[in-house]
Amino acid sequence: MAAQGKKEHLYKILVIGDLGTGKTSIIKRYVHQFFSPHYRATIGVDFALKVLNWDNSTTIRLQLWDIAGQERFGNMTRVYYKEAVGAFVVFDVTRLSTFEAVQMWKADLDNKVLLPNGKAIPAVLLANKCDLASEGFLGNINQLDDYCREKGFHAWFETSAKENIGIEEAARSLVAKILENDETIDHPQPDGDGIRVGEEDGRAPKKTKCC
Amino acid sequence: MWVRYESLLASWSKSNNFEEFDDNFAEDAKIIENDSRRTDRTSDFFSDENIHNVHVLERLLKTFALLRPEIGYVQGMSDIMALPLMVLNNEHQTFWCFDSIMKTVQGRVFADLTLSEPLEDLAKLCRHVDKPLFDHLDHIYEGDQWLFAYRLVLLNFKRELSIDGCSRLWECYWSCHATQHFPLLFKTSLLLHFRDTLLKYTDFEQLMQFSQNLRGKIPVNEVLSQAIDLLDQLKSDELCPHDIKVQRDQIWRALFGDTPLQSITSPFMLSPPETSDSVRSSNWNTPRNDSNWNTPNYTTNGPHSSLSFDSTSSGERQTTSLSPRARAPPKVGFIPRGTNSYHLREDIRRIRLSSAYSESSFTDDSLTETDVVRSNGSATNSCTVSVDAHQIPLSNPTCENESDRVGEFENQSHGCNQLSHNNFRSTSSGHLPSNDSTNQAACYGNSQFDSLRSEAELPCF
Repeated sequence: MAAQGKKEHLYKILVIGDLGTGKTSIIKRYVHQFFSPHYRATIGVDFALKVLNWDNSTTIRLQLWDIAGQERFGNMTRVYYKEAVGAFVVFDVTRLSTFEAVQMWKADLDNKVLLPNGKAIPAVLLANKCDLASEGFLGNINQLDDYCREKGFHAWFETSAKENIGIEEAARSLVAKILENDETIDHPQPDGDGIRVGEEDGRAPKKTKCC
Repeated sequence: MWVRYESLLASWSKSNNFEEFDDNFAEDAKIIENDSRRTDRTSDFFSDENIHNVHVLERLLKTFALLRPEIGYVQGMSDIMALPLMVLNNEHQTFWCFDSIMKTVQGRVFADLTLSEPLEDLAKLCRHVDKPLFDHLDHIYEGDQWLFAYRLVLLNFKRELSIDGCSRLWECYWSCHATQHFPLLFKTSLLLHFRDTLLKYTDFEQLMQFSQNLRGKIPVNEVLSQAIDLLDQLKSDELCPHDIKVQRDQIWRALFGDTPLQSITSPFMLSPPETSDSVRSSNWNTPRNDSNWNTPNYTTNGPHSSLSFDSTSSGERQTTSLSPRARAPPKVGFIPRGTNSYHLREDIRRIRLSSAYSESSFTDDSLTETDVVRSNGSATNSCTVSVDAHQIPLSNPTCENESDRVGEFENQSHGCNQLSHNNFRSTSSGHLPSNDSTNQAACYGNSQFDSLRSEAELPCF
């Protein structure tokens, strides 16, 4: 697919946040340019792929992992978070509780996945459903800037999956940060050609659990 | 002691403050409100015009979360609840139907959301029946859980199949044909069915997209039939090498407990129904991949042209031709002790059976109270649910002519809903093998898979 000399990156990006904040809608909007009010609750994880022609010499494949919002799926997240290099943390501007949960999600993220250099993976905060926002909730932008600095978010964006606001910008911002990290960290590039695993023989079955 | 759905409902619905209940109930209630508004909303049943059904769904889930605080609400339950609600279109029936589902293997997956056990079982069984496929998938996942199957395991194809297809599949589960682990066999068969496709995939991206795009692509009948074959194969693959055989026995024990391998094929063998109906006879060994698989060319009685245990239009029962170990061609089928009155394979092979079987030839000690459903034209249906006393202070004697009691499914006929009604009514709390102590809710009755209903004959909403 890539022209000769063209660099191709494969990045795994998590989309997390409380349930019903619009994670699936954001992804569907971003990947399929489509919005429906009738998305179902995500079970476990959903997955979407977005290919970006970043510049003339770079193609970026974004694996977007849409993680179920219910806390009870929390045990699963360690598996899902593996090897992620960026994250969107989403809250619903019409529900304060989802904003309060943001720091829980961020802490969970930092707890479960780190960059190869040991730093937290870049995270962008999305204030979703901004088309429904009542006056005042996001009135003080400076405050949210402070919040992001304090909590270690790379940036924040007002978004609306319904009205297609802010999503492209947020993605570009996150990808730019990931690319920046990539260059400074100099960790091995993900191999776009698939998986190369040392052992060829059939793996022994995992340990059997009882009860 | 009776517990009425209405009284459970009343216990929370008049409250303004959910905090006063169980700690988690307030939290669950919020999630339920959110999820019920986005469950199957594209179907007519839950459309904006029928918004009251959305509210019913919400009430049901909240009531369940209160009744079973140890489970509460887990995302995905709204999907499970929606199907019986759509089929039965009756609030309290749906509630007890769902409660019974949650006690089956199908429902118990909600207890451990890592799904480590069912996903591991899937890998294990796949390894046994198709080592190359297992190696391929396991290689992609580097020994981790096969996450692409996560939703398939948790929701049991609720989102992948049509209402009709999903009803059919779940009824097969509930029949507990030979094993309560039929869901596992079905999923394994699904992998085998898509084997060639799966083997082409080289990374988990493709696998994830495969499982996300399964909707409308699963031929239920075919995969069900494969699952039955798989069961047979597991029971009797004498040709398999010794080490595999040892392994198989281990798998067998892991999956089916201490039930000896051989005993599962007996004591009842099923022979083709003695009938003058040549069409039926010729269908006995019809290959399952025949081109007219979905053509109901053999049933004429009844408005739905469906499989039926009743073979006479008058509703009179025909004596079954079933007899233990008699005249059975080897691959025809079997009804092991402890199964319900389903004839899964026979049904799949479009063999119509007499309903008398369930009364005359079939006994099961583990069923404490039974009352055979008569699912003929007279539509006098009743069933029995018994609930183990230690689970919840409920018990349920025969529920004929009672209304609104635990697990009680009243006699009624809703026109074209009737077929599905029968199925869900009698299978919703389907009898599970007696070694399954967690499920004592046994509902014993005649039922049909009515696989051959067309979309047009779906319950009208």
